[in-house]
Amino acid sequence: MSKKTIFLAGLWREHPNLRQLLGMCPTLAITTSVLNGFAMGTAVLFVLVFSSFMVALIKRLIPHQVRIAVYTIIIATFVTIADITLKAFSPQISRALGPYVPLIVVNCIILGRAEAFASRNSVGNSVLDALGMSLGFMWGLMAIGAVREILGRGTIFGFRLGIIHFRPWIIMLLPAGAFFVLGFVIAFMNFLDRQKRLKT
Amino acid sequence: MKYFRIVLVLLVTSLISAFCLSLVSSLAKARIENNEKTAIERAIYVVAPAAKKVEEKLTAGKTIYKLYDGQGNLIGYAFLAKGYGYQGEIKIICGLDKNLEKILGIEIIASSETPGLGAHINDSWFKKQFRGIKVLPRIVYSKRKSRQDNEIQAISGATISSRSVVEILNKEITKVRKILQP
Repeated sequence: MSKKTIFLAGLWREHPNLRQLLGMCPTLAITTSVLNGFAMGTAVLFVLVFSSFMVALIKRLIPHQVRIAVYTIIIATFVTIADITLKAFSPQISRALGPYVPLIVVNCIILGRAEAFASRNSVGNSVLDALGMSLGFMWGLMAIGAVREILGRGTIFGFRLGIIHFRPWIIMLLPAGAFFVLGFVIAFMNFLDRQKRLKT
Repeated sequence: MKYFRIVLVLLVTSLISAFCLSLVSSLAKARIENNEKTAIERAIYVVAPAAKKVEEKLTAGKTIYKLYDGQGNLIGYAFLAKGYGYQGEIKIICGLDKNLEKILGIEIIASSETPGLGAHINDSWFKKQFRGIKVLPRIVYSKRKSRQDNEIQAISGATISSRSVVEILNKEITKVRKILQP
């Protein structure tokens, strides 16, 4: 596998939340605005890159039987660091994301990448994979967040769009709206893929 | 030998992790506490714009902020009231006048009510209703345009959230009155 293939896998072909359907909890819960998606994506980027780096670095030292326990400790450490940092430097974002930052510990994407990729590949490739996956996760959250924010609040990045006669669809901010948008985004991705396949 | 290695790896990993976390936590602790304090203080000045000086006082296990105007006269008290709403915790800063009879104002500093329905408790029209209402015998809510001097109008479609705010306030005000007026 070339470096480019590894990096690009997470952005489309093996997209973590829109293809593998991992990390559904934050995908559905916090995507009520683009900025929330961005903040959550950044927190996951930090945790995933550092966890993958650490796991790839020490993979030969860990006895097979306790590898999951060790990965969990590593992940939990970085998640807690991210949580404390957010609380200290941007309390507003921390409040908006609520319990979903500490919950990154149990996000399948992170443990999944540690077990499926970082524990079998070099440090460099693992970091590339982590970057691709978390950037993919981030754009997934931001795309869903954008649709929900525009339709549910009539704003984008917090700025009023000023469409006249538009009454925000409150359902888009509720859990049901999250499922609708997730379905449509996945369908749209599949549609684009099929168009591409038909052309070739 | 095999087991020894397992135990050793787990021990070392946990130790390194604990060390890193306590380091980060001790570096950030002051900042986090400061953030919480500024959030409360900012809310106090919104609740009582006339206040120029705030004095923190711990009485009977409850932090009560004494509010003074520019001349140093006591104008009232402010405190934190919290409880559960429709979905999660609601935290309110409430200001009372110096006779403990009327509300100066309220500010909601944390809530997670339903967007579009209960989240309207954060709207200024809802919070403004509390300004100057009587707390005795208790605050009540209704669905009509409020008339009585201890009554507020509930948000239509979000009675539970409105009721929660009123109940949280009633409970805490009773407690604070007992502390300040034995």
